[in-house]
Amino acid sequence: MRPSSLPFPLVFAWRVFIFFVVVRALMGVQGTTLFAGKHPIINPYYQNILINAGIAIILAVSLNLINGITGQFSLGHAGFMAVGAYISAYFSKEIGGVLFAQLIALISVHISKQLGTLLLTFQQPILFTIAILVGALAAGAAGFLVGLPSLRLRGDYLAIVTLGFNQIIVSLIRNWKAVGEASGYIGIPKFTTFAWVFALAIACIWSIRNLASSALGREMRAVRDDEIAAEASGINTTRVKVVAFVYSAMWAGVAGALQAHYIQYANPNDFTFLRSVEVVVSVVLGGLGSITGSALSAAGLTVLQEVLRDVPGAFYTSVALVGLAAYWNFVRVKSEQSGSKSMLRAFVVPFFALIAICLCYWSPQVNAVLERVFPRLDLPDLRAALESSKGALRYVIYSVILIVVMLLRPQGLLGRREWSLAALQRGRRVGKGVEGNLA
Amino acid sequence: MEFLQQVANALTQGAIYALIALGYTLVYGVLRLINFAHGDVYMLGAFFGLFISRWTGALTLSQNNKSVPLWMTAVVFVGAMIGSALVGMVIERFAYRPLRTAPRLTALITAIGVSLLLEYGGQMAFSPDPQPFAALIAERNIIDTPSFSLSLVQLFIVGAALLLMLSLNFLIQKTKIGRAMRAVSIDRAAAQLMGIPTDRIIAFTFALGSGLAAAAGVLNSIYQPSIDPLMGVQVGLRAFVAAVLGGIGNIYGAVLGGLLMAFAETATVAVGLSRYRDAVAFAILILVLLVRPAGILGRNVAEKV
Repeated sequence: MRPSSLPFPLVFAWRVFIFFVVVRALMGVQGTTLFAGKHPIINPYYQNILINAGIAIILAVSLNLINGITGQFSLGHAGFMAVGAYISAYFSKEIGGVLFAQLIALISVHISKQLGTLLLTFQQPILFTIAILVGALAAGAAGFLVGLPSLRLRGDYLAIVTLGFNQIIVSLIRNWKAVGEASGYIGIPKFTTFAWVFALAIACIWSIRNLASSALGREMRAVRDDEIAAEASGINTTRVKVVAFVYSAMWAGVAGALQAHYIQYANPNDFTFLRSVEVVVSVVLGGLGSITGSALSAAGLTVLQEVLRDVPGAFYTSVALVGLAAYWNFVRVKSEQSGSKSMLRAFVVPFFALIAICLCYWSPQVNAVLERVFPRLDLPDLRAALESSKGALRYVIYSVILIVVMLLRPQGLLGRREWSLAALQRGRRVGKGVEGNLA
Repeated sequence: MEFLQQVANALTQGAIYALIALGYTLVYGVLRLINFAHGDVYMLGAFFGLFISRWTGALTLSQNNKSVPLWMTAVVFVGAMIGSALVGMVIERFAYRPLRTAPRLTALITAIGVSLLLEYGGQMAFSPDPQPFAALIAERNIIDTPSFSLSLVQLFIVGAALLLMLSLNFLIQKTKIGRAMRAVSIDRAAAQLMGIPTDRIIAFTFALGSGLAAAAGVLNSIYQPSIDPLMGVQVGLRAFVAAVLGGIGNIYGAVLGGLLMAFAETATVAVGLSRYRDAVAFAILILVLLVRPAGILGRNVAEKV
């Protein structure tokens, strides 16, 4: 089979695998493995980031099915995630183990003892698979409930209703005694490993990409581009929209299950409007309708959250953002009008932004110099102020990124294009939209 | 009497919701944009009020249990409203005006970004901890029976809100700029062709809505004297639901929705379901939208092909 005939995510996974094999061969140190051992290539800290990135990718790619490909606006993805997380956690903590033990006992007595012991060794993956499926089905049912009003509502109103469902779900969980109410659900078994997240993220990208390029996916894009024309062409828009909601919600449920079984804890506050907004941000940032764009930006934002934990990281991120903004602004101005004066003007705001960032970062030094000249100025130490408000700083930069991208590059990083390694090797991007990739 | 007490409390809360909902509805009327940052402008209004009362000395007076003179209360109100109006105009100028011609979704996402920026920027600037607010109105009950009590604060809130709403109604229905606002909300392009400076009208609408939000912020802070940078999230969301409930874009709908919202909330608490407050609010919204997709007073406009 030629590599190019394989679906893109498989090719991508294969290449990542090859990369790690090569890295490992190059290291050549005994006891070095990918995840465990004395000197693992991916130490627990990086593994944590990778798992979070995988969960974020599943969320963003699945939301892209509703917001990007079907053109509806859902602001309640965290609600579906919560349903998946809680239902699957409840299953694997309260029901699954008991049920499984009884099943094993029945099998050992009535069928064969060997089969019983064999099943027992695979207890964890079997239970986790069922838990994920249960969570996904429950989230899918929730998606069906939310999809129904989408038949009547459009645009802003739909966004509000999905937001409302998110709030309602969180509110119900906060009052559900069996799962710890507002203080959170503790003692969820730790089933999630990197392999699970990786495999499911690949499966999510692969299945949604295939769905988007199927006949149904074409109908979804028709609904996005013009709902009335789509309906006039004989497309059952109701069915298309509900399918998009249900399928997307199911994957959000999977992501919720993975997260709950990873941190072994679920708190209703983790699934509020803010989490939904985070998912929307990664979809919009990657480009509405671009699956690879969503995946890249979800992974990138996860890494960014780690980077933004300290002030130097925030500094480098801000400088990079200013550079990117200056470039986008330059491109925009260039396409609108010519003339060296307006070209220069495109860099005025980024220039001052850069100076402001540097002034904040080197605030102690700048203050020391200034106070030598004007001794009674008593300037505030901006850097110390930034360091004392880490959590807030992270969201401030996050929101600035969102605003800057919307103002200067509303189509997102990739627009509706898809991106692949094979195309990169050939030195160009493939096509415009999903169709281009199919040719 | 228990019932009457609940009605009085609901009316107070409803007046505050209605003032915020008016801002959502005004902006939606002229721009077709859900201004997600509106709840945070309300928060800023409360903080402006705090700064001004600190500056005029009203805060120290109320902390020493002395009554605050009326002129200080007036200065706090006017100052907070002007400050928030300016913030609203700045937000409109830099975050929404460049996107006038872009798809509406883009502006909605920018609005979410501005909202997050104000919330977490507020945490950085004012510290995330709750801060006490000045008692600008004397804490004294006008009617004080064992079963029913009405405080001066409640009366002041309802009175001030009523005054603001009536002046808003006058402004929109009887003045030249109000007529221009109505024209922009009906058809922006046509209004521009008739010589209406639409950009200026939209900026004015933002200032108006933000000023009302600031008034609501100060009123609410007098009622519940503790403010923090995230105080606008829940209240803003509820007021927004109220605006949609009444029919977004319709100012009478916003008032009706605000009152309905407050009454529903009070009823939820009264029957002992206070922990389901949010769920009930949104359930009502979803039910109303399913029956009347444009809200109670909103007109359902058929889509033209």
